[in-house]
Amino acid sequence: MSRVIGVLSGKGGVGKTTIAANISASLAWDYGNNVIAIDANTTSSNLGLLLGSYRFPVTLNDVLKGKAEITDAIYAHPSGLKIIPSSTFNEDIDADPEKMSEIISELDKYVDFIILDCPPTLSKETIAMINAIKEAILVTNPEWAALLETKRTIDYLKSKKKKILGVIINKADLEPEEIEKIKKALNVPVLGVIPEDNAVTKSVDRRVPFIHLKSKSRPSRALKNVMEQITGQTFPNRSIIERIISWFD
Amino acid sequence: MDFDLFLEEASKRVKKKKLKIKSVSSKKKKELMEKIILDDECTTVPQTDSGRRTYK
Repeated sequence: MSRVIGVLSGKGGVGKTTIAANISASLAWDYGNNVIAIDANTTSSNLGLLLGSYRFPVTLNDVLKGKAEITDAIYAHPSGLKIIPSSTFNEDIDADPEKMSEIISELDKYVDFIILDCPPTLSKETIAMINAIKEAILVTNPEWAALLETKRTIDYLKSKKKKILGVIINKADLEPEEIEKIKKALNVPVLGVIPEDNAVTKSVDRRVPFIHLKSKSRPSRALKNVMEQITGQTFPNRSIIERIISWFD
Repeated sequence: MDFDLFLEEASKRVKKKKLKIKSVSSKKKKELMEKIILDDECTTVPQTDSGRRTYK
């Protein structure tokens, strides 16, 4: 049985796909797990692009439409990760997300982790993806609109009895007391604060997860702390110096 | 951002594969799943030069 984790956000544009790509690639490359990352955003998909390519000959949309087998839509990333991308063709937007749970149960026994990069907001598509996941990570920015929508998503996840691992506050530089306030307001753990940094922009441009392209950058150090909380294991091959530096970030 | 690359990507046509659903036994399906997921017998995502350098 695998861990099925949805990466969600109440609002779009907070960096959810970037975080999902980095978590997935790190679980595979650094921790050596068998991981499948699914672009569960079937109408506005970007996960494939962040991991190397924009368009794929067979996608999750084809599987959801009953036109292809799931095995036709799996691709290998050089980190060891497997990707199931979504379509970027307009003719594929009518895919039925309700079949997602069925797909997850097909993959469940073959891998350690299934990471779903979910669509933003509580749309019908997102709700179908929430039904398919077991655990959730929320990504937000420290702005009112994003935080309020995150709270709403947390309440929905709680009503569905999904395990919430915590919140990642992205593109932010926050004081400890500000983090504490957010934690109190959302009533879930804060897994980490990822600072806004040029390393992330470069990694998106070069289509390589920042945790591997710029592994010693501030965002990578912050994400490595997040990885330790997700896995419950220390980040492999992390030097003591880097660990000490990350305490002062 | 590399805008030339953006324009190239946005206008690129990728030939969609002609698909056919074949009914296979659960044993065969399991074998296929293991080949693809565990033995990496699937298409590799094309990488940029940075991607190739990072994961060599």
